[in-house]
Formats: sequence, structure tokens, C-alpha cells
Amino acid sequence: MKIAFVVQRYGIEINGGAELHCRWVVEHMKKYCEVEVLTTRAFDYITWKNHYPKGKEVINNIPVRRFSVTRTRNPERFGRLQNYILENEHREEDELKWLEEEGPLSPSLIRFIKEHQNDYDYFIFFSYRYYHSYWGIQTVPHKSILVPTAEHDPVIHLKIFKNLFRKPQAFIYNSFEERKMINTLSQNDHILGDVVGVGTEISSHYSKEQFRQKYKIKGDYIIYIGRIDENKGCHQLFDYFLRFKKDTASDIKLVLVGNAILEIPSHPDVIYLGFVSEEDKFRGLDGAVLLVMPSFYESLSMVTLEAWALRKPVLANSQCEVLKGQCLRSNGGLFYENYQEFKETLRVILSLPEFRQVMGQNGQKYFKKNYTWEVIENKYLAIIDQLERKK
Amino acid sequence: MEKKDKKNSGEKNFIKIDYEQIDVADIMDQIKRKIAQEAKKPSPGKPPKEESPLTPPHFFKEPEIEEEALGTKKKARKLLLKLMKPFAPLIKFMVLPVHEELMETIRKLHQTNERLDFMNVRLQQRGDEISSSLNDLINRVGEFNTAVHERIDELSRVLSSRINQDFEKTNKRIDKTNKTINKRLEVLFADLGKTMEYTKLLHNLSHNMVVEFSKLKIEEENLKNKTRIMEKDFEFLGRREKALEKLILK
Repeated sequence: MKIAFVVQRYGIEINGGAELHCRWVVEHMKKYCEVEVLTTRAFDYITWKNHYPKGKEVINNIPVRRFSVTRTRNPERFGRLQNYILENEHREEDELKWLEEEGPLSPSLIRFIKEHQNDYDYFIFFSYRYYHSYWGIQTVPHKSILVPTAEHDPVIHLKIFKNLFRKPQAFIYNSFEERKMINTLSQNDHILGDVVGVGTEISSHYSKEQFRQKYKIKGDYIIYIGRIDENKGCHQLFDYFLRFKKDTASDIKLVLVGNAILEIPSHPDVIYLGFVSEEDKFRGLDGAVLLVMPSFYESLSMVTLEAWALRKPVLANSQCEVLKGQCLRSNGGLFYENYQEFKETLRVILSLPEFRQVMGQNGQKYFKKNYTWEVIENKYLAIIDQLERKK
Repeated sequence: MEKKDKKNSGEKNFIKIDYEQIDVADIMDQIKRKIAQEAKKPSPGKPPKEESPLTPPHFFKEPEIEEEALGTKKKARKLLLKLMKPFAPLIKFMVLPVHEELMETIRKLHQTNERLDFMNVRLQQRGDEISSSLNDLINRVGEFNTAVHERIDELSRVLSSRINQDFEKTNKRIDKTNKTINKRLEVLFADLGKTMEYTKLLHNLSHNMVVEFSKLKIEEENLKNKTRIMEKDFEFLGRREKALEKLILK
């Protein structure tokens, strides 16, 4: 059996979101079948500018075919068009124009899929909202499996996606909330699908002391890992954290790991480390009191799963239904909706070490039950098996 | 951290946690309830802005008596009381202690009056403050109300203008479509009229042709009959010819 994984970007350097999710899944599925990645030459997810060389290459023993992006994205024009279609009555053609602007516009990729569809048994498309998934699924609906990685994003309500969600043969969802949202939007309950997500591998021993020494961090800290961006709710986190410090005179610190797009407040207890290595990330997470996830939109937070894998409780933004649902299902974290709730939940977690410990254990149990690679691989295989039986 | 734990230990009681089986939903409910309860209570941390009405005001002062003078007076009073002890019952009725008590009472009454006056002034001030803040609040509510109304009016205007525009556009399109349909209908009706005339003519033609064909048929029958008669005549004449030939030959 030969499976093509179709994703907007692919590479070792790309370390986040659906792209990393795809790479991990491909590398794990290699054990069971012949796999190949079909992707674009883009590296920058804002402009989709061609960066990698055209053609075939091998990354971690996985064959990767790259196709050129014919038009880069102009963020300003894209923003204007998106605002227009979200705020005005429009036609389906406008939505398709938006999709072209969204990109990555790579007709050669779609042409390849069309011409070589008989060479592959299945095409697994990642991220519903991009050009490759929409036109790819339209080209080979009978061989398509979609991993939507959908969030509560307004564009999901576009008409083109409502129809798109009825085309693939199967869905691989990241969370129950995502599945419910897509089912409600497009009434596609009859299509085969399962909540799978993504696994992660973490060594059980990390030296938190090494992390403290390297970055000169003293005392207890909570940690945020991810892009430091307004879209991720970081501005609210800064506001809440500084108010918490003022109101409770707590000596807790906030450690920030990731690329900063937002201005970070100048405060001795807000420590910004920037982008760090994977090892340092896990060391920092292991040494933290808890992981805070202020994001409003997440289809699946990998770092939350990593925190639970390391038995760390999580404090999440309850406006993100996925994070809230995961906290409730795992009993491994609390969540907040406003400052008062942030203050109380953080105070409770900080003041009750036993509570922290039990929540961390619950999180780890939840992780082991649902997100180890063995579980994920079996779920993928089960879906493919069911599709094979249907044939 | 430890310091914080101790500080928070008093607050631990508000949350009941079953460590054997943690239920995050239940814990969140407890936290939300606590926040709701706290929101109802007046915040204890805020110091009162104004002075307590019972606090003596700055303009009220205890009578200033010099300590030294106070001591001499006490000594003199003690000495006098000792000297007058035998006459104590009588002295009790005398003017001096009564006068002092009277003076003391008047002084206390005066103080009380002054405190009452102060409280009155404070009450008035507080009343003024409350009424001014109430006025402010009413004004702000009014302003907000006006702003909201203005916004609603503006939105209604924009909405109605857009609706009107849309209606106009739609009406124009309907009119245009109507005209086109009417034109096409007229053409169709004209075609239909022509077709009906043709049909009538064809009908008449068919009828006439049927009549002509019937006549022709009758004529054909007549001719056939005539032919048969003539054949018989020929036959008879033939036989007569043969008979006559036989007679001639004899």
C-alpha cells in the first residue's frame, strides 16, 4: 500500500502546527506502508515564497516531492479579501478567489495528484483551509482522507468548506470538539472518522536544574511555550499575570518560550527566553509549576499534551473549547474565562502542591491512554483498514 | 512559594477536593461560586474615603488646661475637702460641687452639641456628595443612553438606507426582468396567433381536400361502372359479331 501525505509545508525546520503534526505521523506510518510527502517549496507561511529546491528529496528517510508556488501571498490584499467575504454577502466565486489568495497556490501539485492518482492508494490531506486540500480533495475524493486541523475560525463557515467536508472518504480529527464542530457545520456524520490527534515522545529524565542554571531562573515559575502572539492570547496572559502579581504579592514567575511577535512587558518576573532547543523546552517544562495556555483557538495543543506527558498540570483559556474539553476529560488542568477565574485557579494550583501532583498524574494517564504513538498509529491503521473493507 | 502556601492555607477550605478522584468540573464550579460570592460582598480592603462621623473634628478641642495648673487645683481641692470633711453633709448642698457638676454637664452638652453640629455638617456633605455622584451617574447614564440611541438611530439609518438601496436595486431588476418577459411573451403570443391562423387554414384545406377526394372517389366509381357496362356491351357486340359471321358464312 502506498499513501501520499499532502501538506502545505514540510521540513525539519518547520516546527509547529499541522506541518509538524504531518511530519511526525508520516515518520511513524512508514513502518506500516510505503509513504510519500507531496508538498510545496514554501517555508514562510505568510507569503508562501518558494524556498526549498523543486523536485524530489529525502527527509528522515521519507521521500518528499516539492512543487512550486506560482504566486506568493500578499498579506494586505489577502486581509482585505478575507474581511470582505466575512462581512459581506458574496458568491462562491469570491470564496474561491479567497482560497487562491490564501494559498499556497500550486497548480502543479494538483496536476500531479490528478495524473498520478493511480500510483497511490490513499491521499491524506492536512489542514482543510488551504489550496492543496480543497483542490486535492476535489481531484481525488474517492481516495481522500482529511486531517482538518480546524479551529473555531470564522472562515470555517464559508460555503466551499461545507461542501468540502462531505467529499473525503474519512476524517481524522484532532479532538471531539473539532469533530462536533465539523459535523454540525456540514452534517457529515455519515462519513467515517475518528478522533486521533498526534502523539509525542518524551524522555522521562530531564535536568530541570540545568535549565535553571543555563537561563538563571530562581524560584517557582509557570511556563508558556509557543508563538508569543496576540492570536495566542498572550496579551491577555500578560495583563492577568501582572494583575495577579499585584493582587496577591506572589513571587511566582512567568517564563516565555517561543518567537515573540508581541511586545513583552518589562517586569523582573516575566522572563523571555526566545526560541530554545527541544531539550531545553522539555527541561523548562519539567521544572515549571504548570503550563499556561492562553490561546483562544487551538485544534490540538501539542505542548499541552507534552506537559501532561511530564505530569505537569495545565491552566488553559476556557474560551478555547478544545483545551477546556481536554482539561475536563483528563482532569489534568483548570481553566479560566476572566481575570477573577485566572486569579483563583492559579492561586488554588499554586497553594495546593498535592492537587498539582494529582492533576499532573491525571494528565499523564490521559496522555498515555490517548496520545502515545502506539495508540495513534493503531487509529490510523484502523481507519485505513475500514476503508479497505468498504472497497 | 512556601510563604505563599502558608498564606493561602486559610483559603484552602473553600474548595473541597477528593484527591482520590479529582473532578475538574466540580472544582471549577466551586471556584466560580466563590468568585460569585466574593463579588456580592463589599470589598473589605478599601479604606473609607471620608472620616468617621464620630471622629471628633479638628475644630473641636478639649479645653486646654495646663498640667501644672491642673495639679495645683487638684491639691487645693483635696486640701479644701479635707478641711471641710466635718462639714461634708452641709457642703454637699453647697453651691461649689453642684456648680462644678453643672459646669461639667454644660461643657459636655456643649461638646455633644458641637459633635451633633459636626455630624450634621458631615451628613450634609455626604448627602451632597452622594447626590452629586448620583447626578453624575444619572448624567452618564443619560449620556450613554443618548449615545446608544444615537448609535441605534445611525445603525437603523444605515440599515434602512442599505435595505432601501437593496430594494431599489431589486425592484429595478424585477422591472427589467418584467419588461424582458413581456417582450418575449408578446413575441410568443404573436407567434401563437399566426400558428392558430395557419392551423385554421390547414383545417379548411384538409376539409376541402376530403370533400374533393370523396367527389373523385364517386366519379371513379361512376367511371368504373361505365367501364364495366361498356365491357359488357363490347362482349355482347363481340358475340353478335361472331353470330353474324356464322350466319354470313352459312
